[in-house]
Amino acid sequence: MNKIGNPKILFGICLAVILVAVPPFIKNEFVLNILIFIGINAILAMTNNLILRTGIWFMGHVAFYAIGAYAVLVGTRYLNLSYWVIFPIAGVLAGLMALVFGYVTRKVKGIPFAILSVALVEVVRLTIVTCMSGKPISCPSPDAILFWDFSEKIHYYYFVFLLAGLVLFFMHKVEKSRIGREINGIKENEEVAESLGINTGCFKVIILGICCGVAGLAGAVFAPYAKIVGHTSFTLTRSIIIIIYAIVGGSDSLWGPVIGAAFLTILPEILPGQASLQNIVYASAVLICLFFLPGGLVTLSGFFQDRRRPVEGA
Amino acid sequence: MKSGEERTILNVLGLSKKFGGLLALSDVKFEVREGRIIGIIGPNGAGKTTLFNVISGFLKPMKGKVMFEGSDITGLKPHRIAKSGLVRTWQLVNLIGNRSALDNIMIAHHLQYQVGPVRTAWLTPTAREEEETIRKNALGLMNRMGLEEYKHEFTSSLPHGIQRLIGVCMALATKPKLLLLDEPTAGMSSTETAVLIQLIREIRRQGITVLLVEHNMKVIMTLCDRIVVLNFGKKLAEGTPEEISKDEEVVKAYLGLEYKMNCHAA
Amino acid sequence: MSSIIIFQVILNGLAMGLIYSLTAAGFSLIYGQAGILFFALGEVYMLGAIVTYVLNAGIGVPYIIAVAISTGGLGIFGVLLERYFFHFLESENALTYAFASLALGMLIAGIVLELFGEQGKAIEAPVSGVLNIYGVILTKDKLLVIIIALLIISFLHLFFKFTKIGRAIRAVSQDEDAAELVGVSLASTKALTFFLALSTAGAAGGLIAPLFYVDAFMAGPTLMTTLIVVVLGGLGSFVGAISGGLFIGLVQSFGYTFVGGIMSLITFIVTIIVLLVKPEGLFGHE
Repeated sequence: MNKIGNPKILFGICLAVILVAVPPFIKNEFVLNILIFIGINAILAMTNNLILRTGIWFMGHVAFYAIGAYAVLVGTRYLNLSYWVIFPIAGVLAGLMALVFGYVTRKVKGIPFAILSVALVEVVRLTIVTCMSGKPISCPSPDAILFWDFSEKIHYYYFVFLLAGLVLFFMHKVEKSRIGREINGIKENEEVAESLGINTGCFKVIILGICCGVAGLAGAVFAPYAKIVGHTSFTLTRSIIIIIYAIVGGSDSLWGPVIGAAFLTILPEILPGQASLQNIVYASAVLICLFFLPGGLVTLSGFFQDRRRPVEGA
Repeated sequence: MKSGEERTILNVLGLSKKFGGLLALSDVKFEVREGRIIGIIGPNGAGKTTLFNVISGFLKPMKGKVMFEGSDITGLKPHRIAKSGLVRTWQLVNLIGNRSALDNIMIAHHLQYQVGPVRTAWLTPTAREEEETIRKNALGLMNRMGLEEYKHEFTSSLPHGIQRLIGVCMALATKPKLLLLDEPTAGMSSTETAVLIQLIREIRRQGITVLLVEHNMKVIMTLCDRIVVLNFGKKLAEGTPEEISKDEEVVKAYLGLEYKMNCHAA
Repeated sequence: MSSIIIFQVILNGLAMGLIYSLTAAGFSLIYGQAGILFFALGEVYMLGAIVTYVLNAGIGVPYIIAVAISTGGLGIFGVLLERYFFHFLESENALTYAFASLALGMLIAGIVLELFGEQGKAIEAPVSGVLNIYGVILTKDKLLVIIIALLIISFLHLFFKFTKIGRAIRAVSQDEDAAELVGVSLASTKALTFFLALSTAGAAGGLIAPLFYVDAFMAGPTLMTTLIVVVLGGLGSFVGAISGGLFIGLVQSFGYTFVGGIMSLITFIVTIIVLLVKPEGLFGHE
């Protein structure tokens, strides 16, 4: 189990070093913006992917992203709380609501559950529209912490990078532990897992709660960064795109969702054209992957693949 | 050391189950003594798999109770029932196909893990130690069953008979007190069946009670202390193999059963 | 409460409801036959409207013929999809088909947006004016939609009940293996299913074209409502699709008129409640 010197660890360290040391020298705000969104999208993609990997057809991730964002918005702007107080609360709030959702819907499986999660996204979005009368609201910046005063994009970048790194690290640990094995077991054959003493229902709900809680944290970072928050950021399409990040990148691997998020965040920005082209780009990427790369982009390089399992479609 | 008088480990009381208009189980009632091997036989559609599903918690009965070691387990979730020592195997698709055999056995050791989920997720030294221990136990178990050579093979690519054995291995990993085997020899060759018979004998030697659904009469007659016969969801007869082989009702239910019964090994 | 308004609301509800019945029937048909969640149905509906617009407003083809051509064309598109798109996917995982459909829909919507721009297009109504029956005022455009939709639904019903291949389709949706064993050709039932489903959705789009603006954005909300109808009525159930469509159409019509914008929210909340109580839908099984 000793992995020092292992090429994967070296790669991880190199990547981390680059991601930490280089950005302060990037003056181009456009590039920094992309990096920040890659980070946010990676967090959303990783957490959603873990939920999907327990076998739940969950399409409601954006609802909890929204809850986190609006919790921060309400907390800092209307309740005058410090951002650093409301930040963890936003995550906990999103997580608890996800637990409630998971518990209430525990007897519903498959397609009806997917529709329920879709309905949830719309209920959250329409509630926002109703409460805010459809107008976007501005969100105050976080208070300074150490030397970060969040007046510049780079501060947000480090914040997002830290969060994304933690999530990735946690995913890695879970994957290597027996929890990762059991998650796979639950998805592959839930009845067998249940007959071996695994409380599959509880497992799924807890994973849902934790992952949606983290999505809430992502929303909590997004709100002050975007400065102006409106319901258009929290549509069902966004939820679907989050799932697409994981599918295109590779659902069965640790790095898949990250790579998918990075690829699909950058791609529309470097291609010319307006919004309609974005959809065509996403759609084409998904179709190419579904037809030719069932395991996702990670399968292009054996380096990123998890060799303990066969790749889907192989 | 067992006490002189055997106690009842499983008590099935008046189980009834309906699917739409079909009465799959109708007032089924029998007792299982600890340490015995009990066979459940009956024509296709007699309700054997439904019975297993109700006992192991995957279905709720309309009427009746299931008592395990004196406690009422009717309607409990399957994982709770498995945790209390009543474990079943599956007839079809009985494994986690996209993982290795060793991974399957280790997943089956779920109930043996003591370290909590938080420490496990963070892979603390205690968690890692426990993982090593469980891994050794799993390999040992596979070794004792002659399955060690398959440890790194993906289970979906293994031959059918081996998959069955791995399924039984997984059930044993849960350290059951009562084992429900659902048609374990289906699709097995005669050599594989002989291996399984030996295995079930060994399981009984370890003090595990076995409830066996089977179509292979040779297996039933060789192994079972008692047999319960189901037909159209009702208990048709119950008794020792000799009694059952002479029961007219049973013979009528199975055409040619008498012929098959007379062929059982001495 | 003016009776004119009530009757108009009912008429609107019936018209929209039948449109949803058609799209929901198409969706349920494909799911029942092939197990595929065809999420591109909204875009097919939109294509029905677009093609009708192009033929009618662009080239001057009479409205009814334009609808018929668009319906037939989309049916053929459906057959091609089944043969060359879904056939090649070959996956064990139902989600793959669902996401492929979703991606296909996004692609179609994107292309239409590129070609036609964001502006909504208008078609001239094929009939105008009102009918006055015993003092009840009924607008003819909605009536036309209702009549044609009812004709299509009756045709489908009779088709499934009385024709050999229609019964074959029903057999396959109940038990694919058993149907194959008695000699049903799965290839032809699948092709025909896609033909019927997409042409029905396309017809719905063609019918709606004179009533509302035609643009690339009409697909999304329609798909959403179609999903609600399908899930409430029971996935795979023809009766469920029809009754669910009428129900939602009427509820929404009354809702938007008397309650206003919050109606969308209420619809979703009601959907959630129904699904929690009876996940298979009102007419569904299993």
